[in-house]
Amino acid sequence: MIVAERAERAEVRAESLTVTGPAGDIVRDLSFSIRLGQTLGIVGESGSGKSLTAKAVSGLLPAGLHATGTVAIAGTDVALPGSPQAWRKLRGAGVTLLLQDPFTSLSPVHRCGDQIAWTLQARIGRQAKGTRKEIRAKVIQHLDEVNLPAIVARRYPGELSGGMRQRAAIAAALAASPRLLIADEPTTALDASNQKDVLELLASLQREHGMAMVLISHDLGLVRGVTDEVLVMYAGLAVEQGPTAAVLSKPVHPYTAGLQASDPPMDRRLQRLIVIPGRVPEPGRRPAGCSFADRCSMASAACRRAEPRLEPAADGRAVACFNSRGPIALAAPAAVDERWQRGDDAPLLRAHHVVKSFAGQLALHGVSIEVHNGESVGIVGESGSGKTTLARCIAGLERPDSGEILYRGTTLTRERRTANQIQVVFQDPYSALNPKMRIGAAIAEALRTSRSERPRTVADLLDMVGLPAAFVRRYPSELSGGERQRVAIARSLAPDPELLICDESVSALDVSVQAQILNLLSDLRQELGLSLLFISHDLAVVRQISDAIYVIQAGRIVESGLTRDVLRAPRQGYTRRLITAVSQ
Amino acid sequence: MGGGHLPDGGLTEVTAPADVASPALAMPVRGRSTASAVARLIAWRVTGAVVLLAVISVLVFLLTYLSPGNIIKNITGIRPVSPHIVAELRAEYGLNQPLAVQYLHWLGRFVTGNFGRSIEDQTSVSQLFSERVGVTLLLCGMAFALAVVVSIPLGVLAAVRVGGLLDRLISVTSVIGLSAPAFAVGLILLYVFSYFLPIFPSSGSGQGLADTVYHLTLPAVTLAVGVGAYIVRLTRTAMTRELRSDYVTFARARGLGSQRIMWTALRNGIIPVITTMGLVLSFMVGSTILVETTFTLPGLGMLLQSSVEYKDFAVVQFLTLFFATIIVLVMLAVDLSYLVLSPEWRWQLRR
Repeated sequence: MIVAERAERAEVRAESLTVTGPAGDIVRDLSFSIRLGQTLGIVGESGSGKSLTAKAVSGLLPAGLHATGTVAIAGTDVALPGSPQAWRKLRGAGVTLLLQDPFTSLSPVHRCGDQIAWTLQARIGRQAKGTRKEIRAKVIQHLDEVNLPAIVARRYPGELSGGMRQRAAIAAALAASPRLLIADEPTTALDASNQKDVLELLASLQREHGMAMVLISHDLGLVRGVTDEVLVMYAGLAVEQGPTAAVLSKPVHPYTAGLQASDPPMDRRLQRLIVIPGRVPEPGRRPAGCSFADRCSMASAACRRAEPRLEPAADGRAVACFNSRGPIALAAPAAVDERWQRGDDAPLLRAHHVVKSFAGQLALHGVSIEVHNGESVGIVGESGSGKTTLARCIAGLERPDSGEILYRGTTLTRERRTANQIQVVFQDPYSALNPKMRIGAAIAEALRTSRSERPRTVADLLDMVGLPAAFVRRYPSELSGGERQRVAIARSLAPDPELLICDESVSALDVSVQAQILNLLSDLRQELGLSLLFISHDLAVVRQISDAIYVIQAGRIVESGLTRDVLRAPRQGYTRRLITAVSQ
Repeated sequence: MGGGHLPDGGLTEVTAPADVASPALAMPVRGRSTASAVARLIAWRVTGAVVLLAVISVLVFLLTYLSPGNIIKNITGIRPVSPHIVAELRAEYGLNQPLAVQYLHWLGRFVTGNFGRSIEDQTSVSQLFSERVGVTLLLCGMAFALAVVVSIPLGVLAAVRVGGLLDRLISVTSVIGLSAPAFAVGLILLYVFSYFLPIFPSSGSGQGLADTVYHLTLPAVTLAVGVGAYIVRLTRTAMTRELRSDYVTFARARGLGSQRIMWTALRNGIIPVITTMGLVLSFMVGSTILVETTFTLPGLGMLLQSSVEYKDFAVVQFLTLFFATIIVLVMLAVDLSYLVLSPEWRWQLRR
């Protein structure tokens, strides 16, 4: 009896967790358990139901969604949805949820120290005023734990960098001393080097505090190093679940294998990235049988008739698939020869000693780059390094303070621009399209700027980016992130440009979709002879798409050369840091 | 030395140190730079307010000329006047001089506190003003306090219960309050609370403070209805947005009490509400005229109304400029209140 109770108190369980929205079930019959001191990773593409699982387990589902099932946290059971009183008792010291975006998760008008202190006060109750000093000391202690100096207590969130804000948020979350910490994409909004630090910090704090942790991520590589168990979700369902090492190194479910394979490697360039075709079906629009069947290469007639349930499989895992019995051998696509020689021709684009400052602060300290005809050139650096400013200067969206930007030997000025030859694809496909405009109209609008003799048509452009012609009548809200980014690319291709600037164009997308877009960009480059200026913080992505790279740090180019050479033998510490941050 | 060294893998420009310590701990420096930035901002905004007032003063001065009819006619009314008297009047009012000179003289008199005389009853404008300003200020103050004290909690309540019955009730009521003209509300209140249920007086401003407050209760409620309805809607919109924000979710996730969460959200949500206070005040100035007329209160609104009727320009000019000054000052105060309310603003000043 006592032993059973102890085991009960030392674990966190979710049983038959189901979240229902207006359109149907979003999360279906999910069960997992984590012992205190262990970490469970939940992975899947966006739309798989990961975040709502987190919200359901912490009793924070938005209005309109309904949860059923049971959550048991260290001996306290809650039958979902659970009364507000039950959750009030459990949230904080029982379960705490750390959110993705450190820029919005703290109140902007309150000092960080106060916000950490609130968590402490909520936990120990508001006691006599004598404890104020103690609270202040504890706040500093919590800040120290996340490697932040005591002075941060007096700072407002807006005064801190993204990485520091996420640390401050972690301190605020841990001040509650939770038994279960759910971290929902805690590093997605951060720079590569910060990502690694924050992740390591979370892992070490989890061990020190002996908490159970759920780490939600779309990034398999991130989950690999720090979790004990992993749960792969697809369309609201667990499709593969088990020890991390086994699941990720020898995936059995085709979806897990597909996610793995579409993650681009940094050590070589692949002929073609492996993709999972299609998109995650929305709740209420799921096909009969297995939800993954439409995207699966192993699907058979049986998959369309019935939905597979989780069944025990090799290495202590459970898999929901009729056809895959053993580990799927990950295809190793051929690497391509990256030898490449820049021609002697005059550069298509030449930026020469470009200087740009904002309100007295230098963003670019005399940056020079070249892009030749048909080349794909990468610019890599962390946020704040000046890479986007450079792109905006080249695209004519900012005017440089000094320096020259030459296109085909002619200086570009605000008055003399070649807007049609240079086009930009931005990072966020959600805000790049007017939500009230049908896709057809949005592309037609871009076509009107074309001065080409043989203008393309909307149908041509949709076909070029691999979208069905029927999409002309759709609104952006009906499209997935990847589809929207395709539309954004179609728009940028409308005026028949020679140079496409991709500013972090794939970083907001899921890996499988990211691979689709990267393949699309390679194809377009080949078919149309496009030159690319590819701006990214992700070296693995840049390896797949760029022949040459410039590494930019604090507004200066610190290293440049062939992508292969720079990544194989970086000469600068900064480049090395970026590389290790990716290959964690 | 350009960017053309790529193929041999050479460095383009090695100007940065090879290894820079992690910039994560680089903090913005506070201190004097903030203080001077704030001082600059205040100086800038005050200058703006002065310029704005100068422009308004020109417009107000030109009122006399822009209004239909002859100035002398306006002064003399319908009485028949000889050319001799007209000439005398022109000289007396300085109408023979160039417009710019007239303006400067007028402004000079204004700045030195000589606001002229009422054409209507020949008392000085400053005397008329001081007799009536008290009632209007008290009326506006009571109405504003009432509106804030009732509306902000109602707006918050509607936001907490967004989509619920209470929210719909509050929202519908506020739409009615917003669209009902002040004189109509005033007449209804008069009928109900001074005729049907004679609790409150129907006119006059009373003697002594307590009696004045008693007399001003119904007018203040009338004035507060429109303003309050507006504040309810503002607060509801702002609070609905704040309560859906990430920091509220994160606060709940950490087990914070609902009271603490409400205060945190309110502290964030109040910023846009305060920003529109300038607008609220100009709305109130307009409504004062209607309310004072409805309740026959001897305040500035009624004075303004009768002066416009009689084309009593000295009074109209003074009152217009007075209300404009008040509104400009409130706008200035709202602008500067940002410095207190929004820390983001404070440290962004340094950039």
